[in-house]
Amino acid sequence: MRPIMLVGHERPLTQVKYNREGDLVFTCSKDNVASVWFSINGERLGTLEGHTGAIWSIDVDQYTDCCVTGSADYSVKVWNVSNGKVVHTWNAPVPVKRVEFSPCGNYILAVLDDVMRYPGSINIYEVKRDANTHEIVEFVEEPILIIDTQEGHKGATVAGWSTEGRYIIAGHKDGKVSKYNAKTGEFLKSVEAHKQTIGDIQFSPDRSYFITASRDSTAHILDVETFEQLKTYEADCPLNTASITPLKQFVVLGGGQDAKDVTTTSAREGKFEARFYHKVFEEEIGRVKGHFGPLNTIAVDPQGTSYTSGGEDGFVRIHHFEKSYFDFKYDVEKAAEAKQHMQEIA
Amino acid sequence: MSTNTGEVTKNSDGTKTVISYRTENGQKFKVTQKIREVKVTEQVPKVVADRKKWAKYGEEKNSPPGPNQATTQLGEEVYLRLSRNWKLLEEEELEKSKTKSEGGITCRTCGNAHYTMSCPFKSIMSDLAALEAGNAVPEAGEEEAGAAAASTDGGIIAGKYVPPSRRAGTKDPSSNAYRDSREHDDMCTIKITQLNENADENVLREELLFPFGNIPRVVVVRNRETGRSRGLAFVTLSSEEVAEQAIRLLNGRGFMNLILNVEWSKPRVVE
Repeated sequence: MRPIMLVGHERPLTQVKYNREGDLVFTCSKDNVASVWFSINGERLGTLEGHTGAIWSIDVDQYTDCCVTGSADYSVKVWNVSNGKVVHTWNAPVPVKRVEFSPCGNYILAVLDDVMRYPGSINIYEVKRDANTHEIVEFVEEPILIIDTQEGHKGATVAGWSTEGRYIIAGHKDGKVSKYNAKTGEFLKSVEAHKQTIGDIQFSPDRSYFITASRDSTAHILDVETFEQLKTYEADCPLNTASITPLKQFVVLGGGQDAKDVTTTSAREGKFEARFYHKVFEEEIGRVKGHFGPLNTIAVDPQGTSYTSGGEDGFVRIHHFEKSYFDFKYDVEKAAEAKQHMQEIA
Repeated sequence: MSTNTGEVTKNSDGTKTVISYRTENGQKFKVTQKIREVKVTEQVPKVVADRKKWAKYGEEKNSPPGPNQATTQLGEEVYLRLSRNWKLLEEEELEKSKTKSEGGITCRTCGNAHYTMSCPFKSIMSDLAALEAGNAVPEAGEEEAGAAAASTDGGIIAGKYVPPSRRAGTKDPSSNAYRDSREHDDMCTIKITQLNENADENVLREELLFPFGNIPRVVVVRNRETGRSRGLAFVTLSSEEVAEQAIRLLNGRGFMNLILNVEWSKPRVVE
């Protein structure tokens, strides 16, 4: 396949995200600017300008009406996707590392870093929407809930909403994963999933399980209710990001050892790779080369037909899968499908 | 630079040919373009189609429709070959491309490393020739000279000297006959380059080569005058299989702050 290379960012990428229909890709980087692109051909719709510090995170609501960004300039901004204008700004005492709309679109969570004497927290902001047009009409200024970093845990780096926004799942700098009641903020559960900081948490399409990626070179799939470790994927380099592919039963991992961190790595140009593993069998099934630096973020189209990766090299690459990707099946999968087919005929 | 559009002719297979003339820097160019127009219809949800109509903003304000060259580029072709033995397949591909490019001589018909001149599978031919002439080495020498002169006029690169052992029509050096009549050791010897200066024979034996069993010989190539290592070593192992294993495991591995380069000491042992 021929990836589409987007060269609009001057600094490393921090996050890439698809909207619900998968026709738009939102990218943000340390260069203070976020961009919106059409995924089918890489044409840029526009840029979101206004932040004065690195943008760490971006998310878009399910109506592709508004998108939200969290930045190192201590603010969370909400933008109109159609015209790129800022519709609201929330100020925070510290840099904001992650933002995400709730599945219903009425809440935004923001992960505040634990720096500068601030213990770190997850803030939840509320927005009010018009019942018919779904447009946001009001922004509630004060966060409706502030979840402070739990005792015995280091600050959270990433967080997300589970099914129907019931729980908030957070990944921490010490490799722990914790769960909170989204309505009351009550701490429910915590588990030591990794040995080093967690770089990314992404949910399955129905949000009932999620994958965590860590610098300790492993990625795990955990169940939301029980926090049981369902699957483990081992890589040979520290991981920054992981994603679960809809449609096919795969997961994609991204990471890479920065050249400056290693003394005996051979010069690998264009060789930082996205790794594909089979979700159930935990085996590595392929890699995609192309980035010139570690992959910082990966997102998969909700339709499962393409994926996008953003790297430390400042490039974003959109890959549309070819037929061979969709045809790939393990022997047992083929056998199971054949069996089901026979049963349907009978 | 001025452009004059010439004719537009419709071809029988549905394409159209556009001929135009262009003058640039005093030179006149005739530009012939064969164009096939294909209409691609894609069905998308209404909201997706609506979004396509949105006006561009920010950096893209006042941009024309369509991707901007400055920000959007088509990357090089990358292959996602999904398979359970993905790693093995990758390594095989790498080996293939390495041996192909290193040889310099590749047959156009079969892709192996010999001169093309009426292939097929020249090695088979030279194998047979080698077996027949295996007992009489001096005779083979004469045959080579004669054969070389007669059949390889096309294969010899003009003006470049090719040693008799590498000319077309000679015995394939890696064939079985060759192995019997030459030293067995050469088959089991590997060449290690990119070696740290401070690595001497003992260090190699104890710290790098210990998993490979009893090692008959380790030689570090040294500068004649100063006695310093030249970063090159030849290691003879107990068998060809062990040597192959050693190459596989050691090539590209870090040792004393350098990345080792490990290969066969003789070129193209396996064909």
